[in-house]
Amino acid sequence: MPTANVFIAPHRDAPLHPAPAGPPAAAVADTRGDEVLVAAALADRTAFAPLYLRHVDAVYRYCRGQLRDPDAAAEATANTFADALVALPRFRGDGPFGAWLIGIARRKVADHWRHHRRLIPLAARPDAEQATDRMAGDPGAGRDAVEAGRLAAALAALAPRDRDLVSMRFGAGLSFAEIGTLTGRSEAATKMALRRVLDRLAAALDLQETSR
Amino acid sequence: MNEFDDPLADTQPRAGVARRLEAHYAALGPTADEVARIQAQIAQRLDAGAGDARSLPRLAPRTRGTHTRALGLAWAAAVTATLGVGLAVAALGGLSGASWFGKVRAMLPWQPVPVRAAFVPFVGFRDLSHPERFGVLDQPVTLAMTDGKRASVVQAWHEADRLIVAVALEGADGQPFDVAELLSGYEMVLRWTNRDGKSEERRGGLDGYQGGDPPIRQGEAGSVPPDNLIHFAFDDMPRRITEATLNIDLSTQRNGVLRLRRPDGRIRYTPGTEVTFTLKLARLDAERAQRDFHSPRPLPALRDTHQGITVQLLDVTDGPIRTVVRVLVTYDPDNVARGEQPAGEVSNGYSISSDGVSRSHAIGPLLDRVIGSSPWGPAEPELGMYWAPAAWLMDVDRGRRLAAHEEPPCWEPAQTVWMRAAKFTATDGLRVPFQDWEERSFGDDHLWSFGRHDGIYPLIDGTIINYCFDPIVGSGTRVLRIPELRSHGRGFRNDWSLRWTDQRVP
Repeated sequence: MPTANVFIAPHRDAPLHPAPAGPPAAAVADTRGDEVLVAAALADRTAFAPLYLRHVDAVYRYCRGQLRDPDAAAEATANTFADALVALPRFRGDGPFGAWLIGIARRKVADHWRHHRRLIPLAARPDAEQATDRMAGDPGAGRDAVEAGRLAAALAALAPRDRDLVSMRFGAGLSFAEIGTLTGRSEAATKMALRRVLDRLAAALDLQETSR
Repeated sequence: MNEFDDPLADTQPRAGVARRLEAHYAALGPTADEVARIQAQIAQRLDAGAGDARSLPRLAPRTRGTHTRALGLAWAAAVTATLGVGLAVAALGGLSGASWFGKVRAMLPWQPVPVRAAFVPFVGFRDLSHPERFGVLDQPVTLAMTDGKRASVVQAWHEADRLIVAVALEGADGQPFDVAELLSGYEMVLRWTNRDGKSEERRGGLDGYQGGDPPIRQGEAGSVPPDNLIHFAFDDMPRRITEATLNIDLSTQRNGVLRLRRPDGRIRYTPGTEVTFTLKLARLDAERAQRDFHSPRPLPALRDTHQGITVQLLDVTDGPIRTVVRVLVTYDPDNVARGEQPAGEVSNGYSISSDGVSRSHAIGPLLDRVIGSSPWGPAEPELGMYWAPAAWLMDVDRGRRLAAHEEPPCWEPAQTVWMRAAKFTATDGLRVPFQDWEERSFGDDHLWSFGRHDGIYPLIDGTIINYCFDPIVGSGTRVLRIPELRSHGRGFRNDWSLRWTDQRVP
């Protein structure tokens, strides 16, 4: 049975994500650096598979954090990798490949909002509800579910640019310098901006400073 | 590592938030089902785009409904089956990856549609992140195609390293443009000569639309509303194009899926010739931009009063990248009930229209700034022209004005334009509820969000609001509509229409 994934086809025996979180096994197994994998993918597009498996989690988490809808996040992630595959010859290697991908993903997220700017996503379920659902089967997770819901609500209330910073840092795992490159900030300014966002979230979550 | 070594966890609240965020995002990872769906979508995109993912018709239905999903799954299954045959061919023939794809594509159930090229002139850059190189947006240029259709380039601007060209399309004989035809895959080719004299080329695919009313909806059949601008995006554009020659042709691109769906089965386009035009990009400096922004055009006094709130049109300032309309909001104390704060809010909902002026003006108006009393002194309207080039803002505002504030917001040249609602103090001594600094970016992807989610700004007596529009060209009667100006705590809405006739020579 052939797979629909064109560049993963030769690797179709590799396991997919067994769980919602955690890096794919194929990404863990392939220890070659991104530069090597990019060079290989330039020579043979089917060799893009390890790069995809290595970075799909980060890209998806970023998109999910920004779009707060699994369908939209999946679509943006697919668009990101499709564009990346086409644009791969233009990857200059002057920064990490993962950050380059997130740069594309940011445009895809922007595209999504541009296309949907006048459409209210009535059918979309907020992440807060979904977080609650995920923990519904765990009797001990009631408080965690409430906390997760509060955090999701606080994130949803952030300005888009602030949420962008948070998603790049905590969703995609980018460094301050990488975020700064993508947003046109200095590293120090990126840290400062993120501190402010965390302060706002802490206030929204009513987290108090206690004595150390 | 001590948690306080982390720059984001140098306080306990921040550390707590950071831990929660890490757990939150870790839980957002894709499930196996989602990964499989993403893979299918990538395959679909690559094949539907005939090797160029950007050429995909992104305006295609994206509805999450059952029917669309079923169609998508059916399509993915068809691609899968086709690729499966391709894999078999590859396995049997020992083909390389590239030739494998070539073979597979040759087996896909469509063939190129012959193309008749039309062209659309390009009118200039609006590169806000490189203020020294933004170009003048001239009047929209409309070109009639030989089959009666018309295409107009209305706007063009840079978003990061992308060039976006917004085009208005009309069908033959003034009829609305057919959605199915649009989705059949238009592609714009942009060519220019670089500094070395070499020719370069980028292909831009459909990138979305700039909604009118109604917008192009997901899965919608019918026609493209005339006030929808279709965006074409060119990725990875060099920023240093000046004095360049640009050639653009707008041509249909093959896409067999929709062609097969056409009821008449006819091929609508025949090969044609590409028409070339040349435009020298204007180079504007910050001085000119500043001068333009500081030359307001006085208008006859216009005012309208509803329920104690008066809206008065002050003047119009024409800039190279924005036209700013200033509106003064005042309150009549007699109409403010005792105990209520004489404050209001302005939120989403504003438009400008005029006779014979580009339809883009009805699409992209933005509330630019609310100016009122501030902690450092009286209102300074002359500093409110926030659509000036970023570098100018940096030099003027950061050096002088923002330094006066205890915690100046981060200014970033890449973001170009900011919106701030400052702390306001009511003139009669009442304190308006404290409003912290708010930072709004109008650049890039944040433009969409303004107003819909967080566009509530405090107003006090004497507040001046700047409304920004794309440059207004020509003359005519204009109507500024402010449908949602509300008094604080009263919950009513007013709908102002300030109408004036512009006497400029077009």
